Amino acid sequence: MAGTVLLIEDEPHIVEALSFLLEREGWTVVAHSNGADAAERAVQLQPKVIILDVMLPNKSGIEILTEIRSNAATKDKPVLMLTAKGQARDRAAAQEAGVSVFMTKPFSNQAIIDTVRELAQ
Amino acid sequence: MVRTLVGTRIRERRRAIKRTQSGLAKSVGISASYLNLIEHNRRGIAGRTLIALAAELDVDVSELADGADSVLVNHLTELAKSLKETPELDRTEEFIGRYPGWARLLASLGKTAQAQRENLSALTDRMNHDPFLSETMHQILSNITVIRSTAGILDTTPDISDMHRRRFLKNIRTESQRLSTTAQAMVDFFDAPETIENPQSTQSRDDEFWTRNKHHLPELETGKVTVEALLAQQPKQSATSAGALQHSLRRYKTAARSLPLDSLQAALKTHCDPLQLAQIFNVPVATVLLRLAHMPPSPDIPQFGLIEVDMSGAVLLRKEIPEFALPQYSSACSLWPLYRAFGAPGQIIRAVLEMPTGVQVTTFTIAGASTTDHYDIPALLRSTMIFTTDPRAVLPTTPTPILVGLHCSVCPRKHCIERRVDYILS
Repeated sequence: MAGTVLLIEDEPHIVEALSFLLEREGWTVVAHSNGADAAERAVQLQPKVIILDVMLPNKSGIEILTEIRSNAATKDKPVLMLTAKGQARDRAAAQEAGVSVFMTKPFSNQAIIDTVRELAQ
Repeated sequence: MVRTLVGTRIRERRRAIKRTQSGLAKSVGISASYLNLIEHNRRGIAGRTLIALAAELDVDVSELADGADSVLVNHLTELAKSLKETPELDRTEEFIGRYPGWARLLASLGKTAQAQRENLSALTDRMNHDPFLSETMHQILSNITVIRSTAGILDTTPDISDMHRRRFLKNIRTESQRLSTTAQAMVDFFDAPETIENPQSTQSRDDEFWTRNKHHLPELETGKVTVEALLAQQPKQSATSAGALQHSLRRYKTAARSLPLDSLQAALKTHCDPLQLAQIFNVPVATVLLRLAHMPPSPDIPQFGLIEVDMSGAVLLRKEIPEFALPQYSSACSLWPLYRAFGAPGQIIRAVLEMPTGVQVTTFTIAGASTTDHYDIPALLRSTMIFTTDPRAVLPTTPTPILVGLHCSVCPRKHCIERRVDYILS
């Protein structure tokens, strides 16, 4: 078993597709759609990799990433951020907050699989 | 410093109306050889001979005199700067003198290109910051992500279960329908006429209206047409544009009623002092300034130009006069009282501005509240400056001239402490 991936994403069809892809690769995918308690969920779950959308209800992905990085229990967790906007300011904010990898939608399935694998090593 | 070519203008005008050199010289009582020297700028010309030549050529003296092309010179210089080109700027006036039609065409093309750049800039800005567009783009990319990812799964997973296949096909159908709806909403958004407007383009339309009407609407002054009727005659425009034009028309009408044309023209023959005129007609000075800039041209009274800005520096209204250009593509010289007036709202500032060419411009400026419809919130201000080069407007106690420019990029005053950008010819 490769380990657990926490998928923080509010689009259910993206969650379905990513879960299917990653589970076929041996990952256990735990989906979480609410931004408000997402960082807390990461602390509880201790996943190998966190996939985090930038735009979420109640709290932005950048804020969640900042919380993850400021908590000793999750500060070193690899975080793959996804955004549909791909704007320079999102990327800059994510890098400042400590993102591991930043990827824009639409992404290729293989790129997601490869990136998660690399981040888990 | 631009070179003035009165002779070139005389020659071009003479040729345009197909007069011979000898015939024209005879009509004004000079020799053909002397006129030849004048036309080749080897002899200066002024006074009675210039007036007589202007009359024979059927043009106003100001169209031939020194500085007649200063507005066009400045427009072309600014155009070169905006395009980061360096043509022979020191020969701009010669170019205008030799090819006035082409020069005007070039300036007009420059204005059009600038308007298009501003529209593009507004659209780009909107693409980046409009909440509807931002949300819509996010939605479209999310839809595409699901479709691409799910289609990829179906294509590359031959052993996928029926349950998953059905599930994913349904997801693709749902996302395709959403994508179609979102794309249609975006098309509708761009079809709306107001989507590419910005304050600058709105201002350009106001400019066009007032320039087309030479800043004077006799039928509105006499009540033959109403503001609403005038607005209805304008090309289709957004609520914002129509509102701005309506506001300026109403102000104009109020000023025209307070200061009737005949009475003001009579008063101006003896009083060119806005403060005195305000007392005579019992109206605010700001109304006098606005009205002076909306008078029809007459040899009996000074002709005033006008520029009005809000606190952000955005130009709200502008009227150029032949001898004094206003910036086309940027803010004006920060030393103009137009901006200083914001520091003392309600105070009328009189100042003489000396341009780098040596031209002296008499100005009257006042800043006042543009809105007073809220309690406990500082009013927004607008500053209005009127200007003229006519010596009849110079007051007996006029202060020392202030050395200014048009704006930094076309101003040769290298040591000005207010300089913000380099002089284009430095």
